[in-house]
Amino acid sequence: MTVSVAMHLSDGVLDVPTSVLFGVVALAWLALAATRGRIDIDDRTAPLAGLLAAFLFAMQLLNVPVLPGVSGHLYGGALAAILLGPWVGALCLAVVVVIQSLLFADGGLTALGANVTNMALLGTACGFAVALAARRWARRSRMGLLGVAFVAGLVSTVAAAAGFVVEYAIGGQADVPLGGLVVVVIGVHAVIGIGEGVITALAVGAIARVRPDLIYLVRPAPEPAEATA
Amino acid sequence: MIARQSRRLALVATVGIAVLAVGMSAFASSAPDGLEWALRDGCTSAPSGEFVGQCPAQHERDHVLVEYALGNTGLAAGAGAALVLLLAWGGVALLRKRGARE
Repeated sequence: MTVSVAMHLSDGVLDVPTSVLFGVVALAWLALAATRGRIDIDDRTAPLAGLLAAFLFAMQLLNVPVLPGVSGHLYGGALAAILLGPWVGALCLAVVVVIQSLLFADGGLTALGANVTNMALLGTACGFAVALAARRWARRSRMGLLGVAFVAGLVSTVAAAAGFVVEYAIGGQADVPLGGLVVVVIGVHAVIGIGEGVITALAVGAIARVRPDLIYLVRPAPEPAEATA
Repeated sequence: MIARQSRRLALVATVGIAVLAVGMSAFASSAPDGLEWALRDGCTSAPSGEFVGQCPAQHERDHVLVEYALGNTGLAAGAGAALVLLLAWGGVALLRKRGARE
């Protein structure tokens, strides 16, 4: 019974109550994102969201070797949050994760809530929190922007992996020592996160060169009248 | 000027995504990814495909829709990317429309 799980949990790894719990968490968080994200949407957002989601879907298919016998791929939580904001970015990642599960059998149906929570919500939120905390450096210079994007990418990957560890601690199906699991999961994702950080920085840098106005993180805040229009 | 630049950027991005999805996915590493590898740490794979030992993946089950899944061919990946593009673009546009109405 082996299945392909590209950074996605399969059915049977978490018990039913935990799967239901994180299904509820994911739904509530997505509802909040749909409500709060409206204020971030302007003429540029919808096309960018579509193109970015498709880019992330394609990149998640592209595993590259990161350690002997281990591969990794871009997952894109920080990239989505930096370009679209934390709410719309989370919605984009959720579309990717749901389509992967429903049409490509990539990530279990019962684990969909946990996968959306980790990849679309937790990683995106933590990546954005780091980027927001360091926004003044991102606004100061191009190198600052690249550095912030790199760190946000790294942190978002580790945060998404840490989400899985928490879920497993609550309702993992196998009797596995948690300490060892933390070391293995966080350790390997710290290495993958370096690649995530580099690609996030390269992508943000490329967009900053041609259309810096598309980068949500460094855009000036809209005037109140404009935001509510 | 900005509109023309946007169209050019969108075109370049779409072509890039199509190349990534349809062409490059065939060259992806078949090694387990980080989470998959970590979940299998402590188990060995029996000839039947089942995991033997003690690891988080030992109770893993096949996806219930696996027989209907589109698979991972370049064409399926391209179709998936196109679908994701339409859903994300359409969904965000719909949110904006609803936000403007309220």
